[in-house]
This record gives sequence, structure tokens and C-alpha cells, in this order.
Amino acid sequence: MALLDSTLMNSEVKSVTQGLREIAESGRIGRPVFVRWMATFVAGNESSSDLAEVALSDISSIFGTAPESYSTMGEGESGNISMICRWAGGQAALIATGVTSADQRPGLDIALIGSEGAAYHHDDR
Amino acid sequence: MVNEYGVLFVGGNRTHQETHVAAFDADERCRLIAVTDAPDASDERITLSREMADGYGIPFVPDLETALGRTDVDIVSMCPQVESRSIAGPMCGKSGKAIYLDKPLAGSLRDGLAIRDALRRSGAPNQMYSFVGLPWVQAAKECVDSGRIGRLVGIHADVLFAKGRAGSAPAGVVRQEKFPLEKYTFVDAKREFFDLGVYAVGLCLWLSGKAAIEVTATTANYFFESHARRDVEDFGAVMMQLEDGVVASATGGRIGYYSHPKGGAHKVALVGTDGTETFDAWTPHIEISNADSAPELPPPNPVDPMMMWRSTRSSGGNPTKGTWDALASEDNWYPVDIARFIDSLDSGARPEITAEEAIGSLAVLMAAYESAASGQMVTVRRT
Repeated sequence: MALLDSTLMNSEVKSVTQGLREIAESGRIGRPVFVRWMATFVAGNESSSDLAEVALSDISSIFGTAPESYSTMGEGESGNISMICRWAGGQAALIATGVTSADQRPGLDIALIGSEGAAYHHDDR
Repeated sequence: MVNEYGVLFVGGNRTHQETHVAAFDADERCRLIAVTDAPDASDERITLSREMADGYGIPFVPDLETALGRTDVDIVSMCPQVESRSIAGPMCGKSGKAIYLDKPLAGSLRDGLAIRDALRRSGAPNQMYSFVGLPWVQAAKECVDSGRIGRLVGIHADVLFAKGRAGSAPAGVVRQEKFPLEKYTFVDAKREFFDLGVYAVGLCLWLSGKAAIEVTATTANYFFESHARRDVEDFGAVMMQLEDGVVASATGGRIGYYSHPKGGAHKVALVGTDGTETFDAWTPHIEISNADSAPELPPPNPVDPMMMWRSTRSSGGNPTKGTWDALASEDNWYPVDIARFIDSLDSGARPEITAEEAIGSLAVLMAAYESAASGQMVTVRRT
């Protein structure tokens, strides 16, 4: 079950990222400049560090390159990771993770800010 | 019997005083007494303060000390330009009058500490404008206090203003922040992370009840040519290590009118050991789809091209957006905060955001600018 949840999660993150990347490439929001990315997950089913890594990879694909630097705070055991990332072109991102409560579903909350607009994705699966 | 408080205004038009004075004027417990300004205010600022006085039919008092000495003044709404607070702030603080403070407290930690220390010595009640009285923030506070998400381990806040015609910032320019900061205020730009990040940073500190230990941050020129030309940021982001292992992050900036269906992301996510909850200013809302055209921004007013102030809205200001109909009022944020201040004067209760809390937010902002300039993690100065 954990593997299934994990696979679904990663699959959905990828599809959202694909959509955001297409929006960024289309120019509809101008140049993509900042991403606020937050994921909540079921404790024990995911690793916050893995989720943050996935996020970093996906955001890098939107900006077209790997970040120049990043810093991390928090610790994976509590499910609470925060990361600030900077790209050589001036773009930046904040990534955060948190666990869900027993009556919550995992969720993604992403804001892709562009120089002339923004794209927002929010869901509780 | 309703108390009546005489209110003096330090600073006038084209500052946040425009919203302060309107809210004090609307509160039946308050009587507007006079407008004055800082001893080092420019001739232009004096003219704008006189305009405010004329507009409300109250006198302009040229000398701050004289104005503060008036026996009919009970409250001072302290809102001189940021650059003038090093002199005017401590003068107001030591007057013994109740002080309603503009945000952020001052343009440097030294100036902020001078104001905070003057208020400590006088013992006067004081409050800085913040979002803590708004329903969505009160709901977040209730969540933390209830313990239903377990122990708070993370908190992430965004206060981004969807205002201004974005898209003019030059591409390919990577902002190099400088520290210490110098000028904050221009006709066509202001430091947006300073002005708006204070809300988000303040929420992280107030909701967690923790002080910040160290920060890493970045500032940027993403949206507006005017900000880039004036060498002030239009956006900033900070990650904070708080006490007891709590991590936090905050954004603040002006991202352009068309970048959000309402006024911009105003939200906070609380991460606990047993769950995560998010609160924002626009939830709940009703989403409307119809044939209405997207609102058109009016041509820029040369004296206020970013449409920052009420007094310059001859062309209508930011038009109302129709896609989201927020169920909570969008027009009462200042009145709510000022009413809470008057309530605290009536009851003798301590306001929740005083100069003591304000200096905590200011210390984080200054450390964040230092980090953005150096690219390094910066320890937040203990105050």
C-alpha cells in the first residue's frame, strides 16, 4: 500500500509539473521567476526528504537548469523539511513538506509565479 | 459611557496614514485632533501632511514636540516616512501617549530599538498594525492553541500583493542586495519585502510564539522596472530557524495585479507533528465564471504610478476583480486592527503586537537583507 501511495504521489506530482512547465514555456505568465511548493503526506508512507528532492528536480525542470545553491532546515523524521533554492538566473523557490493528520488526505499546493502572471495548483487527494 | 480618545497623526498623505486616519475617523470612540510630521520631514512631506489635515478639517501643527504636548491628544498614530523615524519615533515613544505604530517599526534595527526603548521607559500602550485580528489568522491561532495538529514544527506564510502592472522588470538582471539598507521610499517604488514581508514574518513569529535564531534569504527584481531602477526589491523570500527546532519560511512582495484572482496570496500553513493545516484570506470564496471582461488597470498616475495610496486614486485605483467573491470583508482590515487597539485601551489589556513583537520582526527582516546581500546564513540579533 505504501508503495502504491508513493507511486500515485510521484505520478501526480509529475503530471502537475508537466502542466506547470508547459504554462511556463507558453509565456502565458511571462518569465517563471519563483515557485512556492508545499506537499503534505501520510506519515510512514513517504519520506519528506524524497519529496523535497522530487520537488527540487521538478522545479529545476521548469527553470531549465539545476539550482546554483540551496539550504535545508528541519528534519525528515518529523516530516518537516523546508528548503530555499536559488538559481543563477535569479529565480528562487521555497519547498516545504508536512505530515497529514489521520482524517486528512495528502496534498499539493504549488504557486508558480511569473513576471507577468502566476499559475496555482492546489489539491487534497 | 463611551471613552473618547483624541488622536494626533504624525505623517500625512501618501503614507499608510491614509488608512489609519480613515479607520480612526470611523471609530465613534475617537476624535481627530491634528496632523503633524517629523522634524526632518521634507517640504513635500509637509505639504502632503497639510493636505491630510485640510481634508479632514483639522489643524496642521508644524512642530512635533508641540503637537505631542497637547493635552487633548490621547493617541498618536505614528506614520512618518520610514526614513524619518529615527527622530520622530523616539519622540513619540517618550511622549507617554498611546501609540499606534506603522509597520514595519523602523528602517533599521537601531532606530527600531530606540523607539521600543522609549516606549518601554514611558510605559505607554502601543500596537503595530498587523493581520493578527483577521478571521483567517485568528483561525490559525486557534489551530495552534488547540493542539489538534500536535506540536508545531513548521510554519510557512505568504503575503503577496497582486497590485501594479507587472512585466516591466528587465530580463536577465539578477538582483545584488546591499546591506545596510539606505532609502526605502520613492514615488514609483518601495522596498516590498520590507513592507509586506513584515506581515508574513510577523505571522510566523506570533503564531509559533518562538523567536528566530538564524535566517537565509533572497531578494529579487522580478516584476517592475521602477524597482530595479531604484535598486529596491519587489520580492523577497526567507527561511528561518526558530527556537525549539521549529522551521519557518515567508515571502513578501508585489507581484502584479493580474497574478491572482483576488489581492494576492495571503496564507499560512501550519505543520504539526500530527497534521498540517492551511489558512488564507480568501477562503471561503465563491468562484464566478461569466462573460465579463478582465478588469483593465487605469493609466498610471504620475504622482503614484504604482497606485499605492487612496489620495491619488483619481483614476479609480485597482479595479475590483470579479472571479472570486470572497465571503469575508476585504475592506475592514485596518478598522479591525485599530478597533482592537481602542478596545485594549478601554480594557487595559496588552495589545498582541506591540513594539516588543515589532522589534522581533524587524530583526528578522534586517538579518534577511544581510543574508540576501552576503548569500550566507545570518544569525538574528537578539533584542
